[in-house]
Amino acid sequence: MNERQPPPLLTAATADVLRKHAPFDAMRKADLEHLAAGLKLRYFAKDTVLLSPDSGRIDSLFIVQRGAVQVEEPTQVSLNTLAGTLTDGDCFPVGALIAGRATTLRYRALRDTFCYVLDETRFKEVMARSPEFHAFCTRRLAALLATSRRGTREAYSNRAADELTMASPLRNAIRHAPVTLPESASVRQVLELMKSRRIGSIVLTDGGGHPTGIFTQTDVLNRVALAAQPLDRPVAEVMTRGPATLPASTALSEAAQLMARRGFRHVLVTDEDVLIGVISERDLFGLQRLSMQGLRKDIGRAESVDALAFAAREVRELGTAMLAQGVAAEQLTQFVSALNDAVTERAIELAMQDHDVAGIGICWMGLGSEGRGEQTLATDQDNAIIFPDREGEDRQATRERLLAFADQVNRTLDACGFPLCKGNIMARNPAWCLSQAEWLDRFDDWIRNSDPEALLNASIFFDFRALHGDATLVDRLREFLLENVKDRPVFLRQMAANAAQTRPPLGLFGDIVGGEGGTIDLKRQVSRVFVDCARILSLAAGVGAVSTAERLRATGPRIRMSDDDVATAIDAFQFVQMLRLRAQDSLERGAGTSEPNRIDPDSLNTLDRRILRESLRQARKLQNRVGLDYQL
Amino acid sequence: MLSSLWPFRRARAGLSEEVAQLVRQWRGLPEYDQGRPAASGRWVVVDVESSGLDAVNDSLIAIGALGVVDGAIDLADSFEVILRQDAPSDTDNIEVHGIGGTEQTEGEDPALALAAFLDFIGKDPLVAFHAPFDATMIRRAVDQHLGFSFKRPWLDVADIAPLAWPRYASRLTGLDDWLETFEIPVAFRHRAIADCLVTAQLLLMVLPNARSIGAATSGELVSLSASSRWLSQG
Repeated sequence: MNERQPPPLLTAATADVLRKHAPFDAMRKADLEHLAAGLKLRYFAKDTVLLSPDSGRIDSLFIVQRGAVQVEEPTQVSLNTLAGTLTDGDCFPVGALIAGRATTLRYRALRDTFCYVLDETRFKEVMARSPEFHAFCTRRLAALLATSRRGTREAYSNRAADELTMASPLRNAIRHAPVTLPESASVRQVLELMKSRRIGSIVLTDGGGHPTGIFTQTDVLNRVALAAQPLDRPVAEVMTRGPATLPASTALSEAAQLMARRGFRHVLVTDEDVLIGVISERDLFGLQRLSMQGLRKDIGRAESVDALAFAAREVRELGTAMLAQGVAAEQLTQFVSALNDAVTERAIELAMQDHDVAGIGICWMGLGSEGRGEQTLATDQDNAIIFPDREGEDRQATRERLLAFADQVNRTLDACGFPLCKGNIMARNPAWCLSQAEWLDRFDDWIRNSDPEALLNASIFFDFRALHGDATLVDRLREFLLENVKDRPVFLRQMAANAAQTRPPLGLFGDIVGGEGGTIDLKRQVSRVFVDCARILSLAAGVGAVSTAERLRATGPRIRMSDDDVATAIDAFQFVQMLRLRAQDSLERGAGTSEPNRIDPDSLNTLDRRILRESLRQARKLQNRVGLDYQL
Repeated sequence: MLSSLWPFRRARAGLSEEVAQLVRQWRGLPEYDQGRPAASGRWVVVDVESSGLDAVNDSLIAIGALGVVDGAIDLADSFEVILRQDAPSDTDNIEVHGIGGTEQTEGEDPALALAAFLDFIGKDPLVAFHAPFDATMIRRAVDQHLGFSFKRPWLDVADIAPLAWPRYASRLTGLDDWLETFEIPVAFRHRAIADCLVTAQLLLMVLPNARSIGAATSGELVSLSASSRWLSQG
């Protein structure tokens, strides 16, 4: 209508409003102001339909200035009022605008709502000049996921109330500057400072000011009071040396995992190698009923199967609580895996008290999802033993000794909520309690003979990880696998052909096609596609990573998959894992179907159903990529 | 040329050709369509800054204006001008609108500023919160600098909002009351263009309700506004 520019004040003020939200916060000032200068502002009274399939070809982007917009399938009256709601800063309908088509959804104002409207011409200009805006608009999945996660948090908000999400960086959780003393200080000086400053820990430094240790309230009790140590001794003698240190950008979830895995109660936080604070477990889980570190300790201290089973149940509860906080699936499964690893380790230690096998020098391996660190809340056990070949030792005799021990471990794990494997892929099975040489033979045999059974085994056993014992035994196995598999294109091709047999349940028109009762099996029909494809791509590229996300991340650059494509595939996979976790959670609370991995897509809210559809497309894309590589 | 027919009550010797041209064009524009639906077509939200609150004696310092077209605020359809002052207003006043002394003395030639304002508003109906003040300030300035009597239809949101939301009518009086009630964010108040933006948002909320308060057309909506009765005889 006119080519006038708004006054700079108006543009700047509008840009400031937008800058509170992604992706505008990441855009360069000039790009954001170019966007802002082209905006119109519209008002939609409560219950007004903003856009629907009847609106025709979409020629503008809507950005919610303030209010709430419900996204609905036009064919139904949506009952999902929580997720699927767009609020301040959210953009829509990006997909339809980019494609220049009508929207398939209906957007309705949940309350009085103001939206900025950006016309197509300006939208394309901003897309062209701002890489951040471009990435945001084209990586729709990531944006949708962020909205979904927020929905999850809201839906669970009665069960968990922690403002700090687990994806926030450690920097945000620091409550005060670190308090330090030289390590030559006396215990008394340290205690006096702790008392006067009312703090629970003090960082000790060397002459150069570098942290060398930490001394905490618990240490007062254990190492000073109970140990009857005089207070004039240097604190260096009682502090914990070499405290765990993480950069300030680390996600809280990652710090939480480290604490869970290693049993730390405090972590030092540094920014460019400068100490900026100390994070305690209580900072991370201040409001949470269950203490992660306490849980880790309970597991490590469990003296009976019953005690261990109790702790394992709490792991699941904590997993549920984290799910409620909207923790991303990748971090959540890693975290659950870390605690499950601890349960397994303790089960092994308990069994070793009854069986004299410590001297053999075995390594206990986790396989399948446990090997990949992708356990959900309901996972069968898949495990095996590898033991060293020693001259003059009878393998059979060693195996006999180990089997009784392994049987006890397997039964303990069963009692802890990891059901015995129906396919008998467990260390107590003589076929999977092998010496290193026997394992190498087995691997070699599978790679050479790519028959159906070998392929099935490869899909479980090639996702292996050392859980307890001598990890070098397992390292050699991996070296062997990576060296040999790439010389066996026939084997990889067979694996690819096998992986191509499961098609993601997508219809001709991109709709989700349910099987019996309209349901789909998230594990068999979706997750497995990602897992199989990632395994094939990484093995072919000689990448040793085991988790699906790590495999894709490490392999992507070598096979010319763009970072965006890799990130989108991982997002899609993690979303499906998240749906599985949620389904299992509702099953535990008696609300789901009887099969933990089956869901009815119609039971999902609109937003999640869209993301699932997009995830299925991503699965198919990855599968097509593998198919092309092997000319299937 | 028909310029001799222009009914300037006082001939302004200093009126430049550029200004005269703009004024001529403006006067030649057709009047807006009073029969169009209230929510369609263009409204122009106006706000002024002045050297004080006395509409009769204080001088006009700045004008902001923002178009609302077919129910949407178009940020690019906006106008802001500072009128050159012989001497800056006093410090207390500067603190209200934030237009500093130098900005005031180096502002636009008032005749040109007002002509540009006319060019921006066209013959579309004007909107303000407490419109009589804005209307009087502008009428006086046009009279002084352009030498004719400026009379336009004004819609006063302060009159209309209580009709649209009667349950708030008794409690809410000032602009700030309404902004707070409807949670309209205010980035910076008392800059003319910023006040236009928030008033325009109130207008957006009023327009869909026009029919329910008995004003199907823009003309009827203007008539509903009490202030319009004595402001819009032109």
